[in-house]
Amino acid sequence: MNNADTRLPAGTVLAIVSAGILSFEICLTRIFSIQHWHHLSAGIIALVLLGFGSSASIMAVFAPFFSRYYRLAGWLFIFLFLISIPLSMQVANSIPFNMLALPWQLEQLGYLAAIVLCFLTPFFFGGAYIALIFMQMSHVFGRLYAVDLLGAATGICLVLLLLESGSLENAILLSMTLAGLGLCMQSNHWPQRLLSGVVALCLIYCSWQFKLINVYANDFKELPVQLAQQKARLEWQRDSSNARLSLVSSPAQHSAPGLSINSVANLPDQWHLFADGDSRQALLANVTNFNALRESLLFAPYLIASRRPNVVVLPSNQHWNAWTAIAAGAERVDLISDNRDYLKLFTTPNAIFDQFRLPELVEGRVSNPRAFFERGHEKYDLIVQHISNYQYGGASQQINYGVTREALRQMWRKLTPSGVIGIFVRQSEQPREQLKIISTLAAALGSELGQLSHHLIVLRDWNTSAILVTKSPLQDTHISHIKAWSKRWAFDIDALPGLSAADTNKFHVKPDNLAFHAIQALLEDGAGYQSNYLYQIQPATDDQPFFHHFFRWQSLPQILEQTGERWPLFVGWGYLLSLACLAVMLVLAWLLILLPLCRQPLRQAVSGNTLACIRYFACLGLGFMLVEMQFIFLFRRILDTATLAFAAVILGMLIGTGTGSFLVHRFKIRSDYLKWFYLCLALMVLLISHGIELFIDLTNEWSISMRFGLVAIVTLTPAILMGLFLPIGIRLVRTAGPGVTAWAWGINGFASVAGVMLTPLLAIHFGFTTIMLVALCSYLLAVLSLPKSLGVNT
Amino acid sequence: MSGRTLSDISFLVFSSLPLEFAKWSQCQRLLTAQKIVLLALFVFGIPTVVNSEENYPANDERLGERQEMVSHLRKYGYGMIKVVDPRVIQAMLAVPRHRFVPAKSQRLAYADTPLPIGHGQTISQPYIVALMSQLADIEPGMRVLEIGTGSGYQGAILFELTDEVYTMEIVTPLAKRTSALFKTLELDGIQMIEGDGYFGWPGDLEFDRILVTAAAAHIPPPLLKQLKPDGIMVIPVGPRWGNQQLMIVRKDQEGKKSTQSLLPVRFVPLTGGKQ
Repeated sequence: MNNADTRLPAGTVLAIVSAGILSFEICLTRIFSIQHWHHLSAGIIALVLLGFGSSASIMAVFAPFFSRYYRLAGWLFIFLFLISIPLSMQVANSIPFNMLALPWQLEQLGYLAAIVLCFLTPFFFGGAYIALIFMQMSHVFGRLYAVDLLGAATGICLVLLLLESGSLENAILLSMTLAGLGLCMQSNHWPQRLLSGVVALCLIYCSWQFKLINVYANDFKELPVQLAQQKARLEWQRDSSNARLSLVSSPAQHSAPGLSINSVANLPDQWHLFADGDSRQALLANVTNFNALRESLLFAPYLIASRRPNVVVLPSNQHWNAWTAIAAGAERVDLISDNRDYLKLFTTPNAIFDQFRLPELVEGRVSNPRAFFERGHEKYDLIVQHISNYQYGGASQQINYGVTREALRQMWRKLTPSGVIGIFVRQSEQPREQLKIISTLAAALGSELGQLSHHLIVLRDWNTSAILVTKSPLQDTHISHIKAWSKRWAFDIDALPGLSAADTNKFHVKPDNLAFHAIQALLEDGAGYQSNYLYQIQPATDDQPFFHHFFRWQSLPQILEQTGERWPLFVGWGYLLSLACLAVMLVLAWLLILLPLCRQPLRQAVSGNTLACIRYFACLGLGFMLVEMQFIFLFRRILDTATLAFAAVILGMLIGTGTGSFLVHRFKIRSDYLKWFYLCLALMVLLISHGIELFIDLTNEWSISMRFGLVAIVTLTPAILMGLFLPIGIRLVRTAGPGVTAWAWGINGFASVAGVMLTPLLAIHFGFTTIMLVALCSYLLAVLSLPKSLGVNT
Repeated sequence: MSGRTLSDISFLVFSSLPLEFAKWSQCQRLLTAQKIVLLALFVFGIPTVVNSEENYPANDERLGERQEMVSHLRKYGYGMIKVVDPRVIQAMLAVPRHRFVPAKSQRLAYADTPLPIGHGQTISQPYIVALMSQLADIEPGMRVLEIGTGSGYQGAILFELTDEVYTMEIVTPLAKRTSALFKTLELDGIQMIEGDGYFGWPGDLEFDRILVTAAAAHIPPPLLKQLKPDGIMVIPVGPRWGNQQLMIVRKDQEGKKSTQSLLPVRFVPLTGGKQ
């Protein structure tokens, strides 16, 4: 190996390319959210790691060849990474993949695989470059790995800043620019650097000029459908790290959630706001007539709330809800959203659109609901929230922390003595969402309320259920008021003290009146009914939050018998898809891990230690990813948005791991210390996961930047320890042959993919505590594997 | 037996299904008898529809696929609402679905699945089309409004059942394409306009039946106003690519409105709840 290869520039190029790769990873989560569904974007981490793992396997197979042409290969990999960004986006655009049609059309599985392959390409080439550098300079692996991770952390920070400035396309250009910079610096001499620079600039310019990197919502999403209508116009659009918001004006916009079939009210003028090309909600202009608002199911909570209530509206359809509160004479309305841009559209003092500006009694608060309630001291007469029920994609894995047992207790404490919680949920074919919410309400408030049935009202139209819980027992006046109002506006009652079956299912007739009977049974025998019901309706907790997942394996025979070929639609096929993807991934990972062993030099190099090698690096990958995912989910409660939690945790983990890796390189840390490091790590991880409530209490009054800093520092500390394991392992095996470093890194990558896919499934079935235990067991197994096997080869 | 009498029987049988699913086994006996009658009807080719002979050739190269599709619809499994109205079945047999399906999806034209027709819209699953037509219980001479022309397939089926079909489409390119297709197929009797279906058909017309083929977030009050007393409106509920349910909105003689949700599949909770 050439001594010059170890100079700083190699590390610098590595850092720049890593920054480019990670920034494109973040962009890709947004691209998937806009073009397809945000549920798919969770799989991007898996996609990236799959790209890394597969490239590492290939590099391990052809290690001698790439070592010989190291400089050229490096340049080529960076160039291919750069060019594959616009190309993969163009090819993916031409694939007619429609997630919604997946259960109907088998070819959609093929399209999904094609999309995955398409976007795997940039990460394959990016990963190949990293593997090449690791392989070529494995004697300084610790330092290079640190540089790689710090570069990645920088890339994330840069791309988040650019995304917040308002354009996803600019963020993609940043990824390409970083790759272009890497391309220049990879060249040896100035003429080559100049030529590389010209090539990179041309590529970047063409991508921008010919709109090769522009991102549009696919045809089957709501935004393009609406824009195809008569006289529809895109009025405003803005990207952020959270969502792409698009505001459309059209004369054919008539949203009126929960409007009574007896209403003849004229609807207010409205424009429609789309998040990531979907999730339509109305912004009402110049509302002067409140009839449509008062004749909607969404008005129901105000019938039993105080006369001039203080209201808090949690995310979803907030503009309509704010006007409903105003129509009910609210004294103050707080709108809680983690999307600053969304609130800026219509809240004072600087609303972007004057016609949508809400009166001053409405205040927008940028926060997630849990953090808002944890920090606030105000009491409310009414807390309103809407639960979406997704029926597509990996939606079953979407988490809602707003309707867990702990969240409902927290809301309860924020209610005035006459306060009400109103939860709206769209009905499925069979009652399940509302039953899960009622189960959770019973678990959360049962001990305080005595009998939930004396505090519970459930109303519905044909589409939506309104679940209302009052802090004080319902009075006869409340009951008669609700009955009269429901009759006047043709809403059915599914739960009310003293209600009989004859009083139900009158206006919106449902087969067998299932909701009424199920709620009655649930209130009478909660645990027994939950354990035997067709769907999973156990109470949600912070450890096992509200997933949009209701499938139970024991119900499968009944579903199969009754639905025939349509069965995937009834079980939440996103869950099945996740299982199938995990199975495919495990098979693929094994094949790609074993592939390099086909070559004799590598097989001989690890002879006798093959399984130990696989076990050690796989356990590290799995454990690392489980801890990381667990932290991301946990710290969503401290930080205001999911994106901030993601950014803070990834930043802390990357810097921490990088530091740990550098420490291994700098101080030549011995492998027999690993068991002590493991003990420290286990202690820290347990402390953090069990001390989350303490962190929340501690940071209640802190600013968002201080909380972000705290999360980054808290995750950084265990990450330093986690960063020790991989370089120590690599140091032990690298002398066995040139391809072993790449192979080991690849194993680590594949196991991380499995970790990403496994986390939501484990959380659905067993809860987050189990994830933490599995992660610690993984690390323990790795520690136990190390001295017996890998050391032999060194 | 005339088609009309048979239709009456099937409606009597069918109309009891949504509310009285528990009587399913009793219905099965009636349906078995009905199958025999229907079979005889097909064998002897008794015409029961309004327009097919005028607009479509009696035979075409994909008739076999169409027969297979209809046979599939009628065989839906336990718990599914069956398509039994002979006039609807005859209409499904008569209208060449492949003429309404884009070229790239021709292979799947007779599969029981929704298909993309561009602009984010779909041609509905044949089962849903047949079921909506059956639920609407259309008699010859009734005035029917369809909101959301889309590919024009549902409109063409309705035109087999009555001469007075009005249809509206809001997506301009689709409206133009389907209007041209209606001309090609000489379905000139179908009144079609491009416009916002929320407000119903322009003018003072009232309709015996209204079919809303696009899933609605709420039931538009102006449309309810255009529904005659004793009228029926049929609306699909749920994602157009997903598990669509159907809903019937009724307006009685006094103008009182109610909805009735129908499940294409019936579930019963394992315990508790009313069986």
